[in-house]
Amino acid sequence: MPHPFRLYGRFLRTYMKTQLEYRFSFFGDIFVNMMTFVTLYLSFWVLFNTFPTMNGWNYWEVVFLYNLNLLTYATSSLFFWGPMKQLEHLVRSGEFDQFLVRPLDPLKLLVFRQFQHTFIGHIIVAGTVMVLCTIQLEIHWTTGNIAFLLLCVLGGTLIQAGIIITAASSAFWVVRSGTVVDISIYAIRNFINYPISIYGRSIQLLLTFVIPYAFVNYYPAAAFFGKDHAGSSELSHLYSYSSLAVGAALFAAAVWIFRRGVMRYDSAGS
Amino acid sequence: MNVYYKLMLNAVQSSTVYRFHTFVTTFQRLIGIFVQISLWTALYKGAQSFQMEITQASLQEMWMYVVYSSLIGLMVANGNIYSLSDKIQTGHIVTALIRPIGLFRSLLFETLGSKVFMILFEIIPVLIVSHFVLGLPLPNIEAIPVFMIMLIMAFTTFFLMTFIVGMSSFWYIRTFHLEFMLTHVMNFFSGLMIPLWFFPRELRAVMDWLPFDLVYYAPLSVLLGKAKYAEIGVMLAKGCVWIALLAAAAVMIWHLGKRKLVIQGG
Repeated sequence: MPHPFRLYGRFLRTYMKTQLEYRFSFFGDIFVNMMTFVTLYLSFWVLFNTFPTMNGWNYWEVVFLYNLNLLTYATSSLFFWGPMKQLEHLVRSGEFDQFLVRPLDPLKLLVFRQFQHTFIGHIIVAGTVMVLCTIQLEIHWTTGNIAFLLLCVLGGTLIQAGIIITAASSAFWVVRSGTVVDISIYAIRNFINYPISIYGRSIQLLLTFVIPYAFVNYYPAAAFFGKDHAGSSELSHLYSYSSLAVGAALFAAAVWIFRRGVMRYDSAGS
Repeated sequence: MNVYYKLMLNAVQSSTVYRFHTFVTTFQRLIGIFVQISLWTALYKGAQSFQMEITQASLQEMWMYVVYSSLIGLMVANGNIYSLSDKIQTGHIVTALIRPIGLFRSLLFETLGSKVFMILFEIIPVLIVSHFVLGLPLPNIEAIPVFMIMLIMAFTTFFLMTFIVGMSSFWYIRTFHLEFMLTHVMNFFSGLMIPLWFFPRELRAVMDWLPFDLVYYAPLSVLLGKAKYAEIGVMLAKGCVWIALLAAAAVMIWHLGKRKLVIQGG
C-alpha cells in the first residue's frame, strides 16, 4: 500500500494528463476564471473613487481582505470543491458504494479522484494581487509577520475545507445536500467580501462561532493592519491569532462528521 | 389553444414543483440584499464622518436600488444558455428542428411562463420584506409606465445576449467560458451592483457604447426618478438600436449554426 501522498501524486498525474489532452480548454478554464476577478477589483475601485472609507478600511486593505478569502477558498477548492459537489449525486444514486469496497479510506479516495484545475486561475490572481496590496500599503516585512500571514492562509484554507466538507456530508442525512453546499460556500461566504464590522452584532457572532468565516480573513487582516476590532474587547484580540487552531479543529470535526455519515450510509440498492 | 400559450402553462406547472428551490433562492437573495445594504450604509457613514456629501443619491435611494436591482435580476433571468448548450451538445436540438414551432419562440414562452410563478412566490416576498421590514417607500406610481417599457427592453436585450451565447455551443464546447464572461461583465457594466452615477466620466463614456446598462441601470434609474426626459429618450433609442443589432446577430448565428450542425443517427 503506497503512502497516501505518493498515491495522490499518481492520481494527480493521471488527472493532468487527461486535462492536458485538451490544452486549449485547460488554459481557457484558467484564463476565464482569472478574468472574472478583474471586474470585481474594478467595482471596488469605483466605490472608493466616490467614498473615502469602508468602516476605516481603505481600497488596498479591502482588496487584501477580499483576496485572503479568495486565496484560501481556491486553495481548498483545488482539492475539495469537485468531490464535495459530486457527493450529493454519488450518495443519492448509490454510486458511493464503490468507495466502500476499495482499499483506501472513502474520504481520501473521493478527494484523490477529482482535482479541480480551474481554481489555479483564482490562486494566481489572488496571490499576485495580495503582493500588490502589500507593496501599495508599504508593509514592512519581518519574519514575524510573514510567518503570521502564512499560518493564517493555512488556517483559512483548513476552515474553508472544513466548511465545504461539513456541508457536503449532509448528503448522508438529507436529499438536497447540494443546496446546503451552495448556501455555505456562496451565499454565506458573501458576508466576508467586506469587513464584517459593517454588519450588526448578530451576524458577527454567526460568522465567528457558527460558521467561522471571520477567521478566514477579517480577524487576521485586522491584526495585520493593526485595526480595531468590531467588538474591541480583550478576548477579540485573541481571535486574530486563532485562525490555525480554528481551522485545525473545524477540519478534524468535518472529517469526523463525514465518517459518521459514511457509517449511516445505506446504498440506494439496485 | 395556441401552442406557445400551452408551452407557457407547462413552464408555470413545472416551476410549482420546485418549491424548495424557490425557498432557497429567495433566502440567498435576501442575504445578498442584506450584504449590499450593510455595505452602502457603511460607505455613507464613512463619507459623513469625513464631512463629505454624496450628491448622486441618498442612502435610502441606495437601499431601494439594491432591492429593485435584485428584483430586476429575477425578472430578466432566463435559462437560455444552459438550455441551448445542453440541446446542442446532446443532439436533442434535433427535436427542436423537426417541430413545427420556432426554437426562439418556445424558449421565450417557457421563460415567460416561469415568470408568472416567480412574481407570486419570489418577487412579492422580497417586496414585503423591503416595505415592512426595511421601511422602504414603494416606487412612484408615475414612474411605472416608463419603467415597464424599460423592463421589457431589459428583458429582451438580455434574452438575446444569452440566446447568442447559448448558440455559441455550435462551435465552442465549453460554453461556460462565455457564460462566465457575460455574467461578470454584466455584474460590473450593467449597474447591477453599483449604479452608473458613481462611475468616473471616462468609464461612463465607454459604457454608453455598450448594451449592458440597458439591463439594470436603465429601468432602475427610471424607477428611482433619477433619469430625466432627455436621458430616457436616449436610453429608449439606444435600446431599440441594440435590440435590432442583437436580433440580427442572433438570426445570423442561428442560420450559420444550423449549417454547422451534424447529428449522429440513433
